[in-house]
Amino acid sequence: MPFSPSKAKKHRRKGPKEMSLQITSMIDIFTILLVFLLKSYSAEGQLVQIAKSISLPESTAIEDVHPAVAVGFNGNALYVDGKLLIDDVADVINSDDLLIEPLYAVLSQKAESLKAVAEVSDEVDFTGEIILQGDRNVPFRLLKKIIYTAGQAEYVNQSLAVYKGE
Amino acid sequence: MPGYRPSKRRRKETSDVELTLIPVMSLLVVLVPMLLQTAVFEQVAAVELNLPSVDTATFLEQPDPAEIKASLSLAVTNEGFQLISDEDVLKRLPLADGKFQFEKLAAELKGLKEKRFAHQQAIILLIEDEVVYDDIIHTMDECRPYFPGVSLADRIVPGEE
Repeated sequence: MPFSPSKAKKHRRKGPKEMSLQITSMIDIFTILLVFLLKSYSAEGQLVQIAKSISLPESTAIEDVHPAVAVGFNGNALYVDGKLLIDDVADVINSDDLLIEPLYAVLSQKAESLKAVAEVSDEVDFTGEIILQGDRNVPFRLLKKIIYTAGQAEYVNQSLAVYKGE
Repeated sequence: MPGYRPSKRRRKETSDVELTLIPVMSLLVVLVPMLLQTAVFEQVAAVELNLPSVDTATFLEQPDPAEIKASLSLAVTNEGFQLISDEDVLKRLPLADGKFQFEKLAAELKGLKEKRFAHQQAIILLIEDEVVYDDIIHTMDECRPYFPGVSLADRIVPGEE
């Protein structure tokens, strides 16, 4: 044999080598994750709660949502501020009446109590803001009725909630 | 200076400095789950509705011929889009494979904005009852770059009144 094994190799064979984790690549992954998450981090969090059964349409709109009274609706049910109000909207859709009675009752009551607060407080103002959270498969017939009902209940600053798309 | 013996040189190469990455690791392990928890993946935006005010109501009762002539409406029906100005149908865009032709609408709106309605800001969407909400939002998105004042209107079916 022309070459005998080197001293280092001989030494290595004797005892277990000291273990060291290959952490560098893991740190790479975590750093990229961290940057990505920091980018999508918003200090405000989600201001409006959207029910799971409502899938909002996507839009290019970039206006921010202000907290306000929220009316959520999909093909089955209608919610006001997360509370179930009508559990079957088929009747509402099919009726010829533009006004949705139960919704009108709840909204006008909310408007009245908010106005009462606004009278004694300087900080609260009744602006008539309302957020309509509609499922993407809802027909315009229902949307129209909700817009009309909210308008009758003095909620005239209406906005439609959408997901920010590309 | 005489060179190192091969065995010595090798030992020098292998003894590289090791960074103490463990604290960085622990920091990241804490930060990443925290950010994951607070991350909002679907950001909610708002589309403001331009509801007809009292002024518009009076405008509807006593129409100003000049304003009517200048107004631009887009009818969204089960058959597709119709661009309407002062009773004239400027363009029909029927459904293609059961879907609205949003790209063609955008091109059409761009052309109108450049030629005929250069100073116009408003467009009225006349929407039929059966049109799906998603399509309405999409139509409003297409209109907004050219005509920022998008209003919704109920489509008046001829013969209903």
